[in-house]
Amino acid sequence: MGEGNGSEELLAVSYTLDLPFRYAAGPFLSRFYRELKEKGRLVANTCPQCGRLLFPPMIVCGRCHVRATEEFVELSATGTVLDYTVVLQPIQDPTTGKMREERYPHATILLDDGVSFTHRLKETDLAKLRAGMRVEGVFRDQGERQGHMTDILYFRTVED
Amino acid sequence: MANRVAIVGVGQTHHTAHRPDVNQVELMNEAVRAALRDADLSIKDVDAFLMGNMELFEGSYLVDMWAVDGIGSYMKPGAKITSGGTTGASLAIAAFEYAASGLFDIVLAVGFEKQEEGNTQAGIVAGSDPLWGRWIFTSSLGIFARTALEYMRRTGAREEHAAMLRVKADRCACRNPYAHLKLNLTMEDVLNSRMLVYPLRFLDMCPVSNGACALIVASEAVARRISDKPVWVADWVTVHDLEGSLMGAMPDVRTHEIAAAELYKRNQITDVRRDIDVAEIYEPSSWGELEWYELYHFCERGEAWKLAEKGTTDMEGEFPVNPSGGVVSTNPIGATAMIRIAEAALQVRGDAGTHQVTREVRTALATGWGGSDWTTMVLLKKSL
Repeated sequence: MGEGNGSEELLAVSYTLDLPFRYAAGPFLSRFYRELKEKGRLVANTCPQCGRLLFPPMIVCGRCHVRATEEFVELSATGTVLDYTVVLQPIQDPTTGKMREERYPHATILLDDGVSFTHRLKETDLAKLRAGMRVEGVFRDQGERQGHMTDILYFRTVED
Repeated sequence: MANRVAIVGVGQTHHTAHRPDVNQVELMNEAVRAALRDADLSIKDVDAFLMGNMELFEGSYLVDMWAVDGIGSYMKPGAKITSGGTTGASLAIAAFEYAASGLFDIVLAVGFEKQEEGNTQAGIVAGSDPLWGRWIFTSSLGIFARTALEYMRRTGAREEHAAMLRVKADRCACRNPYAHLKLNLTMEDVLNSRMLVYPLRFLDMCPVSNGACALIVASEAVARRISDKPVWVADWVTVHDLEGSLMGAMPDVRTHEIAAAELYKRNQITDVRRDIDVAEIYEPSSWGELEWYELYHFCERGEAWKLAEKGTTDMEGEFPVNPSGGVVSTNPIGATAMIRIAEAALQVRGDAGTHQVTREVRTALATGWGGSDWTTMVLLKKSL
């Protein structure tokens, strides 16, 4: 393995980096979060070439590489669970660097308008989760919303 | 393609959890010297250099500048490449392209990671969009867990099938002197290991490794002159998808299928298990290995678990996959995808020693995967 002299003391320095960052949302994503905060709704813009909804809203379609429209459409907050899992071990929260609380279910949710994203589920019992189940977003009340994805608390099961 | 190129030297360190005896540059140097020895070349013979790792994982920057001493690029051209899980393969592919361009005869590529010195999790989660995906992002674990559940639902595969592949990987790793984890695992060990994110267990996931790997690539004329056993690089493909959290759903790695279709078409590969003799694939989890057999067309859709049951991909099997022990046994990330190519090259040469497969190897496949959904595929041959 190593080729050094094992009899000498080897030094190692430990240190912690704590650096501030800033990330600009740009006009399209800013609009998305403004609609979420002020009106409690999800919106998307579209690609004029392939017609797909851009979710998150963006200035350019990544597939066609053309400038996207600036008209926004409201999306339904109901959808279908495509895939899901439950996180059982503490895992680092990338927004804070701290460990998250244990056990939270999350899923890929296909909204009825045909776009998908990852969000939390209210149901924590794996036995009650299944791909294809119908869910709807539960929004925080006006005044509590901050223009962040957690303005949607979670998606709850809709009985068929 | 431009000029044909061959791999004329491979070198790697022993991969392990702790390397307090060397710093990062010295770690790279070990692999570089091993590759030069293997190729019977001097550093003076090398015309250009490529190096890479995931800088954020070690919290360092401009590693290419520090690396000059250790990799031997003093006063010579080259560049750093950082492309996530595919870093090692991107380095190798860039070396192929440098040599194929006709501008350089001999090119050295080295990838490394010293994961114990940093915070890989922080590095990976920083790969998600800060304003869209990062709040919920669960790193590779969440992605593999969701696709594994979906795979079980669609095909009827069970936890045991992923465990079979994990035990297979361990059997191979135990025969590979360079592998990190050598655990003599049983099915019970795997199935009783701690659950992380359902259905992924602790032993299903790749380890945190330190290590480096280096390749020396030469243009055809030089390779024929300097090497007794050049391994010919028949072809390579790289495919990128959109950023994962922006894509939303990721039930399948589409880039695997697109890359495989392109590579197989260009090389008249119509029956993968007949036309290719061994594969070294980048499987960050045993579930990934299971699911991706299908995307690489090693079998029909929904039937990968049958390969696991039959032992088809064992070292002595009809179509050996990862005789090195794979990524679940050894994962120094910036080197990992290059190790796939290096190990595939050793199999083609017949120089893999105790983990040489029993099947005669004329053609080998090496793949890479990185977040999210970047695929590399490299096809190696004994003769052109």
